[in-house]
Amino acid sequence: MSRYLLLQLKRIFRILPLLLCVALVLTISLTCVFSNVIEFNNSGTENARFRFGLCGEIEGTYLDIGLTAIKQIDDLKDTLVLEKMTEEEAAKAVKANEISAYVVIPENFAHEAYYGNILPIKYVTDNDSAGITPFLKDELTEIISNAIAYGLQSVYGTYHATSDYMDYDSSTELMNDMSIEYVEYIIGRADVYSVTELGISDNLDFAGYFFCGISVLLLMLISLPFTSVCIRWDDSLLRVLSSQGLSPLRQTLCEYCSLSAGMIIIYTPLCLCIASSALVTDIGIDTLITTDSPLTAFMQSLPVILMISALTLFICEVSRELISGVLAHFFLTISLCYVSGCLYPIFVFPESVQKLAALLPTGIARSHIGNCITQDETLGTALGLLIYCGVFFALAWGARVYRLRKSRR
Amino acid sequence: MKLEIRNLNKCFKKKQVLKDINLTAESGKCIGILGSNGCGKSTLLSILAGVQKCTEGEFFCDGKDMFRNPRLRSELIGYVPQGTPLIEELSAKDNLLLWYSREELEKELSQGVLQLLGIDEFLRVPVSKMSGGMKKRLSIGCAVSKHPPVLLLDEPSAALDLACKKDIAAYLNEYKKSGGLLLLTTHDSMELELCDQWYIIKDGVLVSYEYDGNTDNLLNNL
Repeated sequence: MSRYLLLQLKRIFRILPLLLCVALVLTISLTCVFSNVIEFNNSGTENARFRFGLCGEIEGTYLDIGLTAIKQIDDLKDTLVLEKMTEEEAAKAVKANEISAYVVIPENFAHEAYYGNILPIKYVTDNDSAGITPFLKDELTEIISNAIAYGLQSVYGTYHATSDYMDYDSSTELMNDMSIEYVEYIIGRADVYSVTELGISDNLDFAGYFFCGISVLLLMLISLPFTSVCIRWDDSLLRVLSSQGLSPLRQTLCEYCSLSAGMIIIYTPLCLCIASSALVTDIGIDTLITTDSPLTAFMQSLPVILMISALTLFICEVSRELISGVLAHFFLTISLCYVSGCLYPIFVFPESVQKLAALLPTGIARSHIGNCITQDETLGTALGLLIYCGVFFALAWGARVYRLRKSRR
Repeated sequence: MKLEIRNLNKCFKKKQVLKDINLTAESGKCIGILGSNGCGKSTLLSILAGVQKCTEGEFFCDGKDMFRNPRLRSELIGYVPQGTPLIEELSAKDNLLLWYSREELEKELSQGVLQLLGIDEFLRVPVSKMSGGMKKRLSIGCAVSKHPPVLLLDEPSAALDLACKKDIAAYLNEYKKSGGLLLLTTHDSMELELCDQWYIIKDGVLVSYEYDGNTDNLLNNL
């Protein structure tokens, strides 16, 4: 058995330079994809502004205080853009999807507000405008309306409260001061809340999630060239080995060990490079909790390699030809990675697919790498991967037994 | 060495491929198994080699049950299947190291069976670059690593050119002369002449045949 294992290792080592080159090209390609997607995602977030039109009696006294209040509310991300325009222009802009909605301040709004009456503000949108949900539109409209109306009301309320006791100039000056204070301390709510994103899945931000998915895809693709060594179309050697006492189980075990060793040898420099760069540089993943050493990261991710090696061995065992085997491996890789949410965030899929993804080997692998990144408990996912590893190995062994029986006929 | 096969039967689902096969052979002989394609020749050899199990029957070497002693069987019986039982990416030497220790290999290459087979000529050539004859010689070299007294060969000269067939036949003759027992399936006239006893498998039944060098007669009996 040891001689067969040594020869299998020798087979793998002979094509190791080629495998390393393939792995390097794949890593560089996927790194480019990763950085581009992250960059696009970040720029997309920055550019996601909600544009609103403001029409009607905008130039009324102190109306700008309400608008300032709105800007105060939104001063974290500057996502709200208010543009003054005529109602006609605003209607065209809504239809052209240039603005999400527009607000019409009715005539005499400021005058009525002076006497404590708030006239209803007209809000116009269409059902498909500017990509925001009706819920969000309602919320934003309410914020804008309240800010304008209550801002104006507060200004005039202050004026009424002080005008009986002061002269006009002093009262106006006091009103201005209090209005500004009001806007800054009462309506301005920028510091009242803070947003903490728990992440899109598994406590990971977008970059972290995408990193996990693309890592699984990379490892699956790295295993692809191994099929050129593992696929057999001639069973003669297996038959002789079987006749000389090397059972199908021990044959399969030797081949699995050599395949895993090859995968680990290729994966090691990649993993150490990524882990080292994570330790010394910011690779753009906010939720990344760096481990104490690259070696720890490497050890933690080993179950993924073992599972992928077993899956590759199984695919090779059921394939009789190189081309069909490589194609089967490739399409299985893409399908599994797609359904497991390695290519797209898992929440874009229906709930049933999400449940399925959690059970698939690539889904568990993605979660496992995620847990390694966030330093969460990895025992459960590691166990799941090892169970899959055992299942794939058993299937490969069963296929070997069947193959030997069939080829004997 | 006396080889005995008693009442050997083999069924694949409902189809009976081998029916009550009985055969006795002794050292220094060459037994040729003939028959049309798919008649069960390869199945018989793979059962004797232990690659697959028979439905019913017994197989003895010097009175020892080979079906019950797989370890002993692997020592007494060498098996060369029809294909190439070699690792294509590796050299002849690497392939031989699967069956020989380094010391044994050096010894056999200098004055043993591997020298006789002429394997030292292409020791460092990868199997993928070898000719059919080289591969067959290497396969036989691997099969006789334990110096088995019985050698089973499944169509040893199939798809080989005349020179290679002659080389293989010469080695098998040497093996026979040295007291080895050969059991081979063949369609080849050169190998038929090497045999001392001939059998034909027809409809699963093993029938003794007297080969007289006339292939027309043989064809009529297949």
